[in-house]
Amino acid sequence: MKQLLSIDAYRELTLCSWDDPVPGAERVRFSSPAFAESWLRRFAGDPWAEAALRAVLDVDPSRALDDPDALLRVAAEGLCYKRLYVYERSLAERFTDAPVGPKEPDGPDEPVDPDEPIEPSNAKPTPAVVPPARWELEAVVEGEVGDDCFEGSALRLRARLRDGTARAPTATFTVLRDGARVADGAVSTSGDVSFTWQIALVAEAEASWTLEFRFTYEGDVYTGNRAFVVWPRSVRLRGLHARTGKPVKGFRFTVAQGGAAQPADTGDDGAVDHALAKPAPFEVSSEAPFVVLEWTRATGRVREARVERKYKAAFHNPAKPTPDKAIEQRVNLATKDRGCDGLGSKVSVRVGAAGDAARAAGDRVGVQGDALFVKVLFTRASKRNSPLPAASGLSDAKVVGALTTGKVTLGAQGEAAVIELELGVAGGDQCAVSVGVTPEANDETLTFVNWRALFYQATRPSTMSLPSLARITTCLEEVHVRYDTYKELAFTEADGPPAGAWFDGPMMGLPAGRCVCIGDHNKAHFHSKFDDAKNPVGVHVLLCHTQFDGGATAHRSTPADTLSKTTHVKVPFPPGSATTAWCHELDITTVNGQANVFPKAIQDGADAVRSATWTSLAAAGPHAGKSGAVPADHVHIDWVSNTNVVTIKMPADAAAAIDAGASVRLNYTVLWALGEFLGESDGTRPNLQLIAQLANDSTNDVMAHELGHTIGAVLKAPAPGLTAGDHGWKYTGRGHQGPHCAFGADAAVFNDATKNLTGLGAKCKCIMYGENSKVASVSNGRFCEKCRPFLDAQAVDDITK
Amino acid sequence: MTSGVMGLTADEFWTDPDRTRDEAAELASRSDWRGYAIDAPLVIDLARRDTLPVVGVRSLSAVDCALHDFQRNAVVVAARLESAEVFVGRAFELKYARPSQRPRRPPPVTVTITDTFSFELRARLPGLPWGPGTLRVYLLVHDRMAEPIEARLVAPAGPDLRAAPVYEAAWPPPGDGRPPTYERTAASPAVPAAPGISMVADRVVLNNDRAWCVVQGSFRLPAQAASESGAALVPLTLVLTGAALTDPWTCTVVLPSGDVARAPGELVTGCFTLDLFTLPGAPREPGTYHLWAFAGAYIAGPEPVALVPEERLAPA
Repeated sequence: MKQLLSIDAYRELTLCSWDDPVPGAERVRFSSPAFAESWLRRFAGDPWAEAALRAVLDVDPSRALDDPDALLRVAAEGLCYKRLYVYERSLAERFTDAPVGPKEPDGPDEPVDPDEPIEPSNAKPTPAVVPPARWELEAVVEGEVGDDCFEGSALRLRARLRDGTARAPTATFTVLRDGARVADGAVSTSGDVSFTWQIALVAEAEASWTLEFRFTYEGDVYTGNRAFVVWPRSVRLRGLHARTGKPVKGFRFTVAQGGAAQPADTGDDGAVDHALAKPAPFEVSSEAPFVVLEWTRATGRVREARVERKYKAAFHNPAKPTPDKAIEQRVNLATKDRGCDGLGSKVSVRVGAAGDAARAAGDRVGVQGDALFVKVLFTRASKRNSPLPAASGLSDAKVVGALTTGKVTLGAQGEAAVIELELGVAGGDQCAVSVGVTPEANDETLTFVNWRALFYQATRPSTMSLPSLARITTCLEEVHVRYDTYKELAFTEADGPPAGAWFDGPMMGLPAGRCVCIGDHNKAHFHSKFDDAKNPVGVHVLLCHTQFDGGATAHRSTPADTLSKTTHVKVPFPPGSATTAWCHELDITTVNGQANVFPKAIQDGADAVRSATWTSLAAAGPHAGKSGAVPADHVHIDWVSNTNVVTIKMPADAAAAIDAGASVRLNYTVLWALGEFLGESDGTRPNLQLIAQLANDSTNDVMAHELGHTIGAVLKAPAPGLTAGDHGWKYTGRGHQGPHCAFGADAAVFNDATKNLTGLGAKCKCIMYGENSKVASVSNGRFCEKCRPFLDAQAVDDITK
Repeated sequence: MTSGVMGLTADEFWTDPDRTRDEAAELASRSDWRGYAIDAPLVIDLARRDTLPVVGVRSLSAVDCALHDFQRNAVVVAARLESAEVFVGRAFELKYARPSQRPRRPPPVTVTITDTFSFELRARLPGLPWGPGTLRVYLLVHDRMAEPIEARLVAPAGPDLRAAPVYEAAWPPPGDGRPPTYERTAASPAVPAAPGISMVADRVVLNNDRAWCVVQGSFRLPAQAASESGAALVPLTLVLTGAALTDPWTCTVVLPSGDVARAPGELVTGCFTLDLFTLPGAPREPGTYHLWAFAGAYIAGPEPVALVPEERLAPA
């Protein structure tokens, strides 16, 4: 019986029963079942071959030999013990039907002992004196591992004469590659009968090939007892970009052999020659983020695939903060890095492949044209509508409510793509940007929160400590304004200040020691100490012990009084004493409702009352024509205990004239000051603040109140998108100066435009209420819920105007 | 060359405005003159100057001084004669401060107070156009007024080409059975024989939600524009001064005339009846106010108006 076992492009193998010889063909017997089984194993898993084996062995598929291994073992025994033989012929031979190969040996009829040396089936009896030669073969490959070896290794074949005598002088070794002869070596049978051959390389299309050998002596063919699987020393792997077809540098293949995996990274040409760790089967694959989408050469020692380096998208600039938190974007400040420095309302967000920000252009994971998906969600706390927060630079952009979606595309060599954001200028508004390589855009999210920054220089007298500004700092944070100090300066009396600025504290009811009064008459001198390095968002906080305005042109009046017995009475002089005298008395608030007079003029430090003279108006008599100056010690001013009253005692001659019934005219000049003020913002440069030393809370609240005016609280022109009606508690005047907030007042009182709104500090707690106290702030130190949205909505980009 | 009551040369208004202040105060103090006076340079060369300093002197009895809280209540008005625009503001900056105090003791009747003052007009009137033209400057303190002065702003470039505001219709529009009306009524004052304004106002007004505060007037004034119907229009700026006001109240109304003006500037006549309470921002705080009216070089007032809350009325 004959059954075709295998056929390929070159040859066919037919499995035959030993008793069914092919005419002219050599029936080759295998020397051992183990070798026969290893030879048959090449057909393992081949249903055609399995069917052939079953047919020739006449095996019922339902029997236990349905186990392929058992089937192979039985077949191998058959090949060894002359139940079966394999007939091989080339296809050319088949088509010409001309048999080739060795002559059919006359093999023994009985099975032979597999451990016996090979007995050529065609050995012929010879005279007993010359026993036939019987050879024993061995093969060794340099670096062999089991039956596996590398290409290019040295194969050494050797034949040993086990029995008999070698009569023929030569023999031949034959090396077969996958069954086809690739090398012959004629050797001498005297001495060491061996042959060495360098194993041929594995072809590109092959992953391995099988090496067999034979030894032919005097027509007898000895089949080698081993076969080797020859493996390449290296494999060449090549990755091409799935979309562009261009070589992908840095793509990592994984080469696995026997459970051990090794990486193989492609180079500039997108390829890598990976040396195999051992001669053994290998598998090539990839692991995330490296993905093989399609093998274009899936077998052999050269493999090629369409690949993609899957990666996560990430923010390159600004980078996502570590630890994760929102970026505090100071939208009112000028940026030097397209908003990526946390400054400015416009931000050019650069996104790309994770890790590419630190990679050189040629090393980036991202590839030109890669699309990254983007989601931008604006969460607006403010009604401000100009500029409106928006995202641009996206393709396929869609805007649904506050959400904008779209894509960006990486540039040349994976250069980062840019998302343009307009965050708006309103404090508290938020923007969350998400990017990803999938439409979910969920690889990374960056959140911006709008803040505004103001900076201050604190300038104070050396005799005064800087008050704690924690209260105003917290107050401003509620409207998303950071208030940071950048300079502190102390000035002394020795600095050469304007005359009259420094005074003894008790003159104005302050503790003993030298104090400073600053007002419109001298504030320019002190504001000149302002280092306006943060213009236009820098504030000069000029602190003083007390604040009165002496007038840019000194406030001065020239009172005239005519004293006589009929119009005046003698009063105690000094006030409160038991001694009375003819005196002129004038409450200086007669001149101005907010006037104050001190013994020493704050404008120049000299006596406030000056050039006082008297003239007798007597027409005749001893007092006629008399006049004179009023000495300084005849003037009494005590702002603390006898507020604002100027008392001038008539000199003796003048008093005598009055006593005599004459009238006496008094003329003098007095310098006075407006106040007392708690604090101010300069009328033309509102970032210049002048703050008097008050109770700490009051100082903070006055500063915040003035700053509130400066940055637009209860402004006459609300920010775009807001209307005055959104506030509802703004008032102008009504007992105060300018616009203020009465939130908390009784609605009936507030809505009655005829009502004055002074003295409501118990109810109106907003810091923008129109009055406060120097000793106990009437405010709670916060902007009210009505004012906060207006302050959040202000741009706060220039507080100098 | 000196000019005005302060005796300053033209340049000294900028270079040394205080030079004569003590002398002027002394002179005023020793004279019998009482009142307010202001002074300013007559001609301002716009090529050299960008400010308009105003200096002044006042001399009042101490009693009047106490009544007139000068720094708090002084109002400056500038009328640009070429365009009849009127600009109004406080004469002095009022800062964040406690309310004014009253003297603790009555002012002595024998005392007079004299002092000088100054301000810069552009700083006080930020909207003031700074171009060639003539400004007439008034200082108002309640019901008192300094003698107005005129300052001519000149530029080598030639006449001012700044267009006057264009009015297209009467404002506020006539009411339905209540003011404003622009018809002559029995209570309308007679139209002045010479160019000017006649105006009367309710002296005492009950200050409640139902009250009207009626101002009636008539005018003979240069027309500034013509309505679509051809009737002439005349802008009139109303100003209220008063102790209750931290800023002067002002409102410009556009009065229609029954006359047809063939050219701008031609004199036209008309009457008006207004309810102050219907005008934007009119004060409602109780107190005594003085109503002034300005139209270019022409002025009317002061008309005293007292807003009296109901609770202050004597029980019936």
